[in-house]
Amino acid sequence: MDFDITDPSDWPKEFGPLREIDSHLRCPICKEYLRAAMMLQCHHNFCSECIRRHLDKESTCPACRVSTSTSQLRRNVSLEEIANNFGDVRQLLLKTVRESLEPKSAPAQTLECAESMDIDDFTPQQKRRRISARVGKALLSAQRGRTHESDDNDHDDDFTMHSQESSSGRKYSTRSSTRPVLRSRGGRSETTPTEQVPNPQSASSSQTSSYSLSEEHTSASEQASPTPAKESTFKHTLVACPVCTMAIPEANTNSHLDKYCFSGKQDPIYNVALSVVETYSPQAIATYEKDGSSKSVSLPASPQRNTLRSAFSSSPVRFNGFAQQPSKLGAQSGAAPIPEPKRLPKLTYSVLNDKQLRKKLQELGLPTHGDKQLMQRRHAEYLTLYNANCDSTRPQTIAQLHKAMDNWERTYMRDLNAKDAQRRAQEEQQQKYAQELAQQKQQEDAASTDVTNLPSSQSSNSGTTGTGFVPNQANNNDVNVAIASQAAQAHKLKNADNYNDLIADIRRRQQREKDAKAKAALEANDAASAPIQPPPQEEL
Amino acid sequence: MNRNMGSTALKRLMTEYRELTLHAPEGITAGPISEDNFFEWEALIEGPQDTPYEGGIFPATLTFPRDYPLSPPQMKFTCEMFHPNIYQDGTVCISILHAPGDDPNMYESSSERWSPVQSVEKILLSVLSMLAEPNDESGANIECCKIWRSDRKQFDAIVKRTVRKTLGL
Repeated sequence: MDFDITDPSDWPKEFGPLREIDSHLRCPICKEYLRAAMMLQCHHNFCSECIRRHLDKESTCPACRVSTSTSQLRRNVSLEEIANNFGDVRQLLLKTVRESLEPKSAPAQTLECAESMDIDDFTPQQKRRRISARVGKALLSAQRGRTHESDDNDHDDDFTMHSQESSSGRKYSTRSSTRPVLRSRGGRSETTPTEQVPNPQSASSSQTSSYSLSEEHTSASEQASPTPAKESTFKHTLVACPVCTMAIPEANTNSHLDKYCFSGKQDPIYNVALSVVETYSPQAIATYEKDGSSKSVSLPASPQRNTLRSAFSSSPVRFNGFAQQPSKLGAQSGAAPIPEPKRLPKLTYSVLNDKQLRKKLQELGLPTHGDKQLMQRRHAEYLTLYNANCDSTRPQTIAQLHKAMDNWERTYMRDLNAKDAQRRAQEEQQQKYAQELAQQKQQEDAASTDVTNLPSSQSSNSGTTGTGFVPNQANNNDVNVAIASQAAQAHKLKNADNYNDLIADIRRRQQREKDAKAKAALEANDAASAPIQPPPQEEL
Repeated sequence: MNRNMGSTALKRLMTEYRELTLHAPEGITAGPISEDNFFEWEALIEGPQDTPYEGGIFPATLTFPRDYPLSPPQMKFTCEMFHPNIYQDGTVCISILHAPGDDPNMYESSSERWSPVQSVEKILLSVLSMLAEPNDESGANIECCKIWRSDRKQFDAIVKRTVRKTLGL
């Protein structure tokens, strides 16, 4: 099997919340992670393609059957992003989770026991928080061991998360300043999971919590200028520079003014307007992104700005239309935003004739062969694929869509041919059956005429031999007739029996064959699934 | 990432098969007849306890359409079944197997019909509960319905006979 079938039950049962998360991120129709999540009025989420296909058939929500339509579909971008990212990180996370459950050494085991015990004492919400904190940390440390590139991405993510946390206040603090809150909630076990993690880098939680911004920042300053931008500076309140209005730490105001603003230079580090930092919300990002081209004139690109930008744009990527991955955005900051792709409208096929439909297909670059039904199906299929693709944050190119259409065409034709073959086989069988029936009837007719001919000839004989009163002969004849008719009836009955027997026999044979086949398949099946599940006991 | 109809159905059926083998509900076994064709399944259903079907193991086939799960599968018992909601040829007639569009009996509320969020497991569980509690409003086997309504003892006797038959006794 070339499919990788995943399931919420892959997660160990000790990590129940992860199972929950996993199942919530799946489309109830296709049971895979949501692709281009769409929300209905009733707040149920589905893959765009799945729900579009369903709504083509009937206009109700599959989950609650509230009536709805495609026009009421709304994108659920954050859910889609979560599903995407969870899908991306699944394998790694699963590995980490499983490793954390493996008994390594005696002390680790006791620790774990103690932990799982006190996990049970907490409310589900607390449990969830603690487990996710633990897993997140394990993951973080696992990812730190990877390439430098992915390391950078992690920083971006941390930065995003972090600035979101502090968006309400003016505090532009690092993780280490927000962490204590988390840690106090997590209690003592917060430090235990890190000990189970194989990576020694994360042995101390304080190291983990404070590394993100400081490291990023120093690397940025190393590249850009020798400005001393220590971690501590970020802990201070950000204020707008009175001259250039950029967001700068309060304590750095004087040095910033002296070094850059008064000398007419631009600060390579603090070059993001305070308004952008403060009003950090998806809408703000959207405007920021859209105005990106004009702003980039006044704000020359710098490493710091780029990271900020890519961090900002990690969720709303739509403006860029097809074929762009979120991670590439930072590099393309100067490019003009591509307008959102337009959905294709539905057609009323009944009012279109073949020629018009063919033209529509031609406009879309699709094959135009086949009868109207095929063309109609083809158009509907492409419409679904195309519109679902418009909803995706990871859209495919038109060429990929056309390739999918080629595939569809092949499967459709194959199914059609298979159906044809099946119908033909059925017809043949019916014909054969009818022939058999006819033959049988012929034989039967022939037999019955044989029998009925006999007494009639006899009776005519008797008629010719004696018109007068000949009791013996007449008696004889009567007896003969009676016997003959009886024989005929018996023959007929026998024949009928034969005929019924034949049919029953044919049916029985078919049934037996079928049973044998099913049995063999079942046995094979059972044998295949034997290690997982014993076959049902047949005896009472 | 080709997700045309056939492969969506196939993937979903594989997922369900995996789920059913890992966490099979009690009294139910189901899986494809052969690995080459995931659209034909065989299911074994154990007769529910405290019903005349108790002790029986009933084989059935499930035939899935190409656009599964948008359309429901068909279910047919391959053994002799005497039940008000099972046709004489073995076809099962319950609302979860009917798409909202077609209603052969004109009585089912759409809330209990097929929808893509249903699954093989739910179908088989519904069949189990159908065996325990026949619905005489929608008779598929009218003769059986009559007996079930008027003469429960006779019904039980007939069912027990068929149960023995399916077990080869």
